[in-house]
Amino acid sequence: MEKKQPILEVRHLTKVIGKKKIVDNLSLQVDPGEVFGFLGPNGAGKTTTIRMIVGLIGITAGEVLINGINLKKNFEKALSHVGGIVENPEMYKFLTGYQNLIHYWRMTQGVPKTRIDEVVRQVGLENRIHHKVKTYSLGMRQRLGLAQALLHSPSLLILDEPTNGLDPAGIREFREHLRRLAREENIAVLVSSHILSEMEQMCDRIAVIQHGKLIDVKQVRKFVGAAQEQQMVLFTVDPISQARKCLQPALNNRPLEVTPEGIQVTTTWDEIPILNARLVEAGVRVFSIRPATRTLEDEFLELTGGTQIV
Amino acid sequence: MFNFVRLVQNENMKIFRRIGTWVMISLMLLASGVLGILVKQNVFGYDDLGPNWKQKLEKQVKQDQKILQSEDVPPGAKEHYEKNIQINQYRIDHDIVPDGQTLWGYMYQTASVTSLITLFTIITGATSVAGEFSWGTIKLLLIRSASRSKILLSKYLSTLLFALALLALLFLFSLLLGVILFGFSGWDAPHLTYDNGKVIEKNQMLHVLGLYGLECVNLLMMVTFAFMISTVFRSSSLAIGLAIFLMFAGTNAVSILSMQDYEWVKYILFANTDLSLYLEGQPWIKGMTMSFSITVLAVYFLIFNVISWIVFKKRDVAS
Repeated sequence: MEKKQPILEVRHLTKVIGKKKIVDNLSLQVDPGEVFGFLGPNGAGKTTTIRMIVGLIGITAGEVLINGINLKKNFEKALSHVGGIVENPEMYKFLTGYQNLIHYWRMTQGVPKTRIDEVVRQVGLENRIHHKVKTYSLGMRQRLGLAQALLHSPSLLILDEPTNGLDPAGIREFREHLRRLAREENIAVLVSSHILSEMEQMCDRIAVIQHGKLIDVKQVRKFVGAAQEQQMVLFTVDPISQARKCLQPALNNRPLEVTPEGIQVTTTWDEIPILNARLVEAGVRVFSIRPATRTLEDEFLELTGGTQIV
Repeated sequence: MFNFVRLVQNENMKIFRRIGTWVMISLMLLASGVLGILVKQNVFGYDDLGPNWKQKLEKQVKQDQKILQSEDVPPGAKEHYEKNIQINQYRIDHDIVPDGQTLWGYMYQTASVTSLITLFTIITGATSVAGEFSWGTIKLLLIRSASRSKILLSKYLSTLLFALALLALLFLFSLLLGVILFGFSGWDAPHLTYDNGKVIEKNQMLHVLGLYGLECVNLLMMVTFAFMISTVFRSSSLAIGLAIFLMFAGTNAVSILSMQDYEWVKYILFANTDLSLYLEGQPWIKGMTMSFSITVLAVYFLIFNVISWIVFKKRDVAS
């Protein structure tokens, strides 16, 4: 497989404020079309790292390369590939949504003005774009924030805690939007959050960061295409003893565990219907079958060693 | 590679789309209008000379001469009376109407409205930088493909452009109002000044523009100062408050200190902002000259701007 150039490359990034190392020798890469998550407890250095990448905070040591362009050496050119939302997108409230976009459009180069209408349509704000931003709901502001970030068709989208304060419907909508962007426009997305479940649903890869250090980068498990892979599956059945008797021979000594919720077995994706058929034939009532992978939360807590305050 | 003009356009949009800006502009025009009515009502106590102004001036000249001949006139006042006599005599000889209650007399008064423009420009300039921080918009402004230096410069320039626009508006509006209130009488009369025992004729329009121009020195310095404070402390109220306080207290402090004969007083900014002292009147400290003041002003100007620039460029935008 040909190795593609990463859109974002961070090398040995370090930030020292006073005597405290906020970010410590952090390196990572984000590839095109990938949603890369940045996960860590509050105060771990997520926001500082992201702000260094977009140039809001000075870099003590290390390098940030965006499309191969060094941020420190050529700030304007490097950032012309980046769109960002840092925390809640704060807009000029006394301007209309459209005037806000004009404002940011004037700060780009070589982007036709018609692109404004295009992004407005893309985020679905056509009906309210000529209203003042102070009349917008948080969800609408979030959409406008996304519109300004996409205005110059960036190859890297950087989002710092983008779903803070959004309601569940808003979060869901935002997540779907992101995934579509990454897939259809091949944009790389770097997103930070401390909300685990949200990250699990949004990201392809997740970096866990604590005390300013990168602890681990994990591929978020994809069930499709992992048919031969062994995994834990939980059967909710009744009665349990009969089901156990029925499943045991089929498993060839692989472990079977009875939990309060049902029976947990190690099996492959392909084998699940076969096991189910056996149970049904034996007259066992099957209520649900679902993968019992360890959640990201389990892994996260294991990695970061619980809820230590930094 | 980057279109700087568009950045200035952005700043202008942010200034003129705020309601507060239009309130300030209305207040300025109101002030000019009120001043016009006051001059028309003769609140400033110009003698209503009327059509037989020549006789009245002759009477004034004789009166002044009588005072001058009496012995107990202090030397400062002596000069004052001499000046008045010479100018009034010149008016009588050359048929030049006194300009107290004319279009030009009113225009001289409007030069004082420029201190209102200074105030409004301080507010606008302080909001320009500190506002972005308090609105939170700085986070979206600085992650663009535009260097911080350019952004700061565009803000500073658009603030000065705002002041320039207000000055032009005030001048034109007052001129129009002056013509309506006082008509064209004395339109082509020259402005008379007194220099070393001689009366000199000057162009009225240039004289009014000169008055406006001299006020701009103070405006430029105070706005630059407020701009620096707002950049360093990210607080528009602190910048506005401090600049206004210094504007009023500064000159008073200088006048008190200058009486103590301290040598260093002449290096204080406010001892140098009123350049009109060199044209008519006396500087705060003996031995100060126009070029000295301009040098001091230039140094302050440079220091204020360099501090703003360095702080803005290095600032970490956290939380």
